[in-house]
Amino acid sequence: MADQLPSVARFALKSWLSWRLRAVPSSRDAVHAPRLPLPHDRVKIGAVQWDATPVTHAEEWIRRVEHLFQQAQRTHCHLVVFPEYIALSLLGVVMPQQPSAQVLTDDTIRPLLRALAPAAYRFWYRWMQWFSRRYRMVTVAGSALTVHRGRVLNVAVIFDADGQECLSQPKWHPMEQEMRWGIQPGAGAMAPPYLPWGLTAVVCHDATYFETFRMAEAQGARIVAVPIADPEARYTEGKARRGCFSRVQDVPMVGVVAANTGQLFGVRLTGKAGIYVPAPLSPDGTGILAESAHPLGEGLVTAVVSLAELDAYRQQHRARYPLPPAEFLDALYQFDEETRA
Amino acid sequence: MAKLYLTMSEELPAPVRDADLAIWWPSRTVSAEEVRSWAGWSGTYLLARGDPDVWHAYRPNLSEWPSVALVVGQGRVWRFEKRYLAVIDPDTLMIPEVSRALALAGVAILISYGHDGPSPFLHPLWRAAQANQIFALRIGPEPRWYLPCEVDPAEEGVQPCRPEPGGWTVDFDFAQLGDARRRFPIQQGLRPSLYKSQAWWPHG
Repeated sequence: MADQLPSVARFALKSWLSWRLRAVPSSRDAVHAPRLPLPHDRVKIGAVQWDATPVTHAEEWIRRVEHLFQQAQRTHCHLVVFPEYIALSLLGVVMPQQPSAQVLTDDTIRPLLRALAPAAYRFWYRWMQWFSRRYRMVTVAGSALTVHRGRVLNVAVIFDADGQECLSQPKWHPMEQEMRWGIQPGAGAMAPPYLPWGLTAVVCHDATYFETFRMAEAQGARIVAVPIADPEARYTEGKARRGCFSRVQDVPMVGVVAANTGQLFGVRLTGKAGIYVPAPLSPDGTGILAESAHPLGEGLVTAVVSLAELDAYRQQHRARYPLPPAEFLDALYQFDEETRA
Repeated sequence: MAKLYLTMSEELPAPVRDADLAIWWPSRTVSAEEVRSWAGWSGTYLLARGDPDVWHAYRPNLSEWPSVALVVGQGRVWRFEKRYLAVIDPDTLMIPEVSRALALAGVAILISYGHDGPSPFLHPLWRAAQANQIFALRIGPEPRWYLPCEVDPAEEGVQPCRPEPGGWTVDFDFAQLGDARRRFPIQQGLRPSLYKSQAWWPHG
């Protein structure tokens, strides 16, 4: 694909972005909440809906993220989940403010992301890590782009309540548009989930595939966080329900969707933050424990989930709907990716 | 464009001459003879439910329409218009690997039964239609036609079947499935090598 951004421009933008994102968290007054033991059964979860509009100053991004942590703390959340590509709003600090400059083509985005992703990733990682420790909250930081051994990956990261990274998971199923932007699928094995909850994270389109949830279940996952950024100009319930909501019906789990919404460099994103369970585990039988009211805007939705109830339901579900035999599954996945692509 | 006709009448309904596929789903058990007599005037592919798990199936020329049984779960598969259609029981639908395997093998219409529950998006047939970008028919008190969101004008992936005297009809076009798969390529994104490397099933 044609590289429409000269290397000197890339270098200048990269240096400029690093300079604009130089803010580091203060080491003083870091911890803002007491350290409490994690519950083993009833976990209160907060799912973030984020407005993707590019910020003009890094401090604005920090302030908004902290506000969401404060909301989660006020509502006594043990776990908070942020959306996919939350760090991309930071690129606004080096983008011209004219509306025309906010609309990029695939050919421009590709080199731009490769050049700018590492600085935005470092900034996002540093601040999310700091906030998770400051608010003593297990945090799915959302996902951000990074360059690993020359490959651009979209990676979700989980921090524990001490700010230690406990899981890093690249997106396995990038969308076609992301592939055009140079983002490659993750290749490694799924990391063991965070205990005691069995918390893991998969990214957006990964939840289109029940296979992702089967792999997570086999690793011992019980809560799957799904940061999303759906490039859907028009929100419809049908399109929204075919991801995480459907997967937790297929493979019983708690599914937590954090959604990035709004305009991001010409791409319109819609989606709702939500917390989903298998339908029989929700009081009204809908499978929805909490969901934001609008597919645009910023906020937090929360719900309490019972992992003991989930475990009991999973046992029944497995007995009634057992996995097909190994030879069936070996045959099902015998085709070659290259020939199907 | 093809037309599917569904009737749940207990007795033979009035003739439907322009359907490509007719399904007779009464609550009582029907015999092969009854179905053959119906086929004589409808002149279409026919599927009728006999005893549980017994299907009477005929081509328009009244020859038997052969089928194969699923190797996992309860259901049967027929070849139809260069593709396949499958009838599958709701419990089998709850195992997503089965509908994945059927879709990869060329099944384009999945038929099952049951209620929607509190939302049409909770029915496993709707999930199977979206996950595999195929058509699906839910037979029940208010029959529903499921289709990939990409080719549904409302983008919800579910439509009511059109009421007709004695039953319901659905118009569909297999070309729509190719269109949906081009616009939102799910099958191309499958990663069998990854799934095999982290198999959730015991290695043989």
